[in-house]
Amino acid sequence: MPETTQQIVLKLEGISKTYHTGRLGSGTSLKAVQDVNLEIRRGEIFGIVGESGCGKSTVAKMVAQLLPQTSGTIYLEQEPVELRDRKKLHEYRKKVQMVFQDPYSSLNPKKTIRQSVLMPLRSLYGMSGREADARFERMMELVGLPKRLHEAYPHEMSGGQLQRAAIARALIVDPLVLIADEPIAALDVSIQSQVLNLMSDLQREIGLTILFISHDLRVVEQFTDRTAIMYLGNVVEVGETKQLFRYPDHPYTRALIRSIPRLDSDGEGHFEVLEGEVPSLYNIPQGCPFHTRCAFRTDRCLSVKPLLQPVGGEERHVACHHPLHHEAQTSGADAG
Amino acid sequence: MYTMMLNKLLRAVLIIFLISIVIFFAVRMAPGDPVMTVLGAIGNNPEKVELLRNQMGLNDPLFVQYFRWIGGVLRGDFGVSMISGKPVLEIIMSRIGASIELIIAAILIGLVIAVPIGIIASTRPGKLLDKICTTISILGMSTPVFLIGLLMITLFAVQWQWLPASGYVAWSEDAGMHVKLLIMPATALGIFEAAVFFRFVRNGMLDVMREPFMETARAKGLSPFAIFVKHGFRNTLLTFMTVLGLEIGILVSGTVIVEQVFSWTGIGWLVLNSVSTRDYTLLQGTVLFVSAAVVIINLLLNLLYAFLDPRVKTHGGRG
Amino acid sequence: MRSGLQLQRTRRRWRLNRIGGGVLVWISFVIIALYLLMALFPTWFYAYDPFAIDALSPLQAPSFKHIFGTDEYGRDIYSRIVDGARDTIFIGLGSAILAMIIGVPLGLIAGYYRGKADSVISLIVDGTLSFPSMLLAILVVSAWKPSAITLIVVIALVNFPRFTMIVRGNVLSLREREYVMAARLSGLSNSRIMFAEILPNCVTPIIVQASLLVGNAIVIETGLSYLGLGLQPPDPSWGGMLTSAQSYIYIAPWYSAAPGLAILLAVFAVNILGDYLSDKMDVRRRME
Ligand SMILES: Nc1ncnc2c1ncn2[C@@H]1O[C@H](COP(=O)(O)OP(=O)(O)OP(=O)(O)O)[C@@H](O)[C@H]1O
Ligand code: SF4
Ligand SMILES: [Mg+2]
Repeated sequence: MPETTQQIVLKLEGISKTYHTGRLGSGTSLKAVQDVNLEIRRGEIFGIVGESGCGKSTVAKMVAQLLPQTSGTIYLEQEPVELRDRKKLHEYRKKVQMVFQDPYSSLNPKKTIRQSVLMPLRSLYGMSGREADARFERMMELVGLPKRLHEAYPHEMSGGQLQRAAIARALIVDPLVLIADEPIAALDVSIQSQVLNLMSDLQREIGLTILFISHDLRVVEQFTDRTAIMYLGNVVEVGETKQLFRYPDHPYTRALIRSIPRLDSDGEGHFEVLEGEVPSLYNIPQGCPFHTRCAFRTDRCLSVKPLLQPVGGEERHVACHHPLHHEAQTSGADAG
Repeated sequence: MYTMMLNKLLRAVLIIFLISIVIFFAVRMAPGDPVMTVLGAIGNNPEKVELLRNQMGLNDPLFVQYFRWIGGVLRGDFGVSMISGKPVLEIIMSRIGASIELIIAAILIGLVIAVPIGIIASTRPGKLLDKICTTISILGMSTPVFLIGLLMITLFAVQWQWLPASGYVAWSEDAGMHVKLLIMPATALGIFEAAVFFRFVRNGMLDVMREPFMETARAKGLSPFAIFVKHGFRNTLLTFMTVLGLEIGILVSGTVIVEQVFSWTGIGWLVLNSVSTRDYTLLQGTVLFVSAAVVIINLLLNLLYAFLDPRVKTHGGRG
Repeated sequence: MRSGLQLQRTRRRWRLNRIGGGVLVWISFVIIALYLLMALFPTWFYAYDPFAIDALSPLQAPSFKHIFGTDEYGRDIYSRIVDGARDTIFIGLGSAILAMIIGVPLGLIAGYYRGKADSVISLIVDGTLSFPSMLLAILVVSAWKPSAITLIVVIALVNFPRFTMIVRGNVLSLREREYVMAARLSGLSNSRIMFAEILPNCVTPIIVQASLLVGNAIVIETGLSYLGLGLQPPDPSWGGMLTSAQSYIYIAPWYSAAPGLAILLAVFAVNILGDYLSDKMDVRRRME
């Protein structure tokens, strides 16, 4: 079904977020996200990666409409989303749901799992009683939570169980898109893969689209179909995950990937460290935001900000004046 | 820094404005408008009352009267007493000295009691002495000032007859008597304050003790008190100003009651006297005056604090 | 988990020691329970009719017959203390509850919406807190009739900002919790989120504050009635009894003992309880 997989479910157009801190007048503003354009396709797992503070969670919250964007438009199935209109927002919430990083604070400590999980069904669909309970049982089965935990309180459960419950709560309204903001970062390593597998099963079985946010490159590489790389509030590169990791076009992407410790074919482990410090968001460099750390920098990079543009076909987009690899990629990489 | 000061100033002005609204309407909106009732009681001649009403503008809508009142206050005219006909401000000024004297004496007594005990309690936190002091301070904070006052009268005036029970004599008339009469009300109020000061001194000392420079000082063999005087003074001063800012409203409330207990004829006594004579213009004027004074003192303490505390300065200076 | 419980237990024991041992807390509980019973069922405690005038035995010193003596009309002081408990306790509780009803929603709104709402509410809070509460109370009570309702309303008005401050602080941190965001994602309205999601999680600090405010309310109420601005005679009030006691202080110096003790014990017990609760809460917060 190549046509349907190509269908765009969610589109971000020129999304920006500026936080204002401090008191009115004397405050400062912080550009957490700048002009992000992304298209998420139906049924894919789309990853967003970047260092801490690059604006991943801010993007996630704006997509979930938990935070109003400063500018830009979000389209769900080609329809622009309006935060102001309560009814439309409700419709949007039925289709876009989210799970959070910290399972321990994801569920209200004063409510049972059943109460928490049923909440979206009750207030978005007005559904309760036997019908809702049936859905609840099915959801719990789907995420693998045993009966004895249905009436449990959050403090009686482990992190992995809580995250399953949070997933159940997000999925009980049968959304199109699930946003997962570092859903495994707070979990024990042994449980991380269980939760990942659960999500990938869900994607396959119910055709869920997942926006997967992480700072862990290895997880993103293994788990996502396509990936966007963020740096200082900007998306610097987007592409098909395997290709992107093998042939990064943006110098930052390459540096990130090289910083992953990995075993080469000769059995030796090595990794490189990205040099220089991340500039402050209060003081984003002129021109290319990455130029303070880039080895390929030219004069142009200092003054002209590179825009996200297709490079070597429609699949790959890069925001760099001197993309690295795409010639090599188009000549011989399609074997991968 | 200046925006912050301006901000605080604006807030203070706004708060005083809000308080004036409450003071005015809380009285005038009461059932049967007490001001009207009192006027009715004064004049037994209906025509005369009507004349008085017109003179005082009491037939205008309430909000017009409010703005006339507050406009007068801004020009320093708090109106005239409904009973004696004297200007309210003049009456306030004749009483305020006694109250200020009482409050300052009470703060000093509070400090004299609280500081040494607080320092001693803080040297061995959690030990018996500390526990006893802390429990006593809860007891002190729980005891209403009029109880402290009555107990003192019972003991020192009735039982042992060391001091006169109550009253006020001007300094110029009989200085010795003036001081004798001041001792009990000031101590009653001071004991109450001491309980609050004690907690701040103790906890403040514990914080200072934990500072790194304390270790070095102790290593040099300085005694706790010497260390405190040398290093903790500035911090303590800042803390004291904060506490005073928080406490000043409570202190004024306490003064009102203590003045009544001991018939110390200051502002608090004036307030209660105007309640019993139903002199509402005097009452409103006095309450507004005192409240505004409290807000302004708080503002000054705040500004002084910002001036003395380097952290506040750099923080405010960034904007 | 087990070590956590142990930690909690040792901490609690240490804290209780600090304020003079668990005994003090238990005594406070008993005192409060007794006062509540007196307020609800005064007849259980009467030794005499608190209104029965005995012109032949005014101002009698404490004796086996009248354990706290008699007042200027020969009425049994102990029974009048019992009868006075009702007003003081109910005004104390009532004003704390009303202050809660006013203060808690304001704190929720200020903390949840922040911005302009917060600025306005903070201004009101600052204004009320810097206002000498006794002055406002005197002003209002003298203009309005000193009924139980007036007293409850006035005391609540000077005290509600304490709830607002506490709740606002808690909400500011709770609103960033992920379950609050999840509730928004679930389509809950802002008021549902404030009252059904956030509020149940700030119950403990509210209860602590309430217990402290009952103490404060008793101080204000007895103070007002001492000044003659409380509930009017012949209903006995602890503060009013003190006023009478002061006028007979040379003849009957023991007169003030009973009302004084009644007030002191009530406030002290409530404050000890508040201190205990806030320590307990502190432990739990550290545990989380
Ligand atoms: N409410 C806020 N007010 C002000 N600044 C904020 C706020 N939320 C986030 N920021 C700032 O915006 C920037 C981006 O934050 P964001 O949480 O989106 O980053 P992130 O990529 O998710 O980082 P992490 O990996 O640490 O979660 C950070 O510098 C953060 O400090
Ligand atoms: S635009 Fe220039 S500075 Fe930026 S990443 Fe490309 S080469 Fe480096
Ligand atoms: Mg994040």
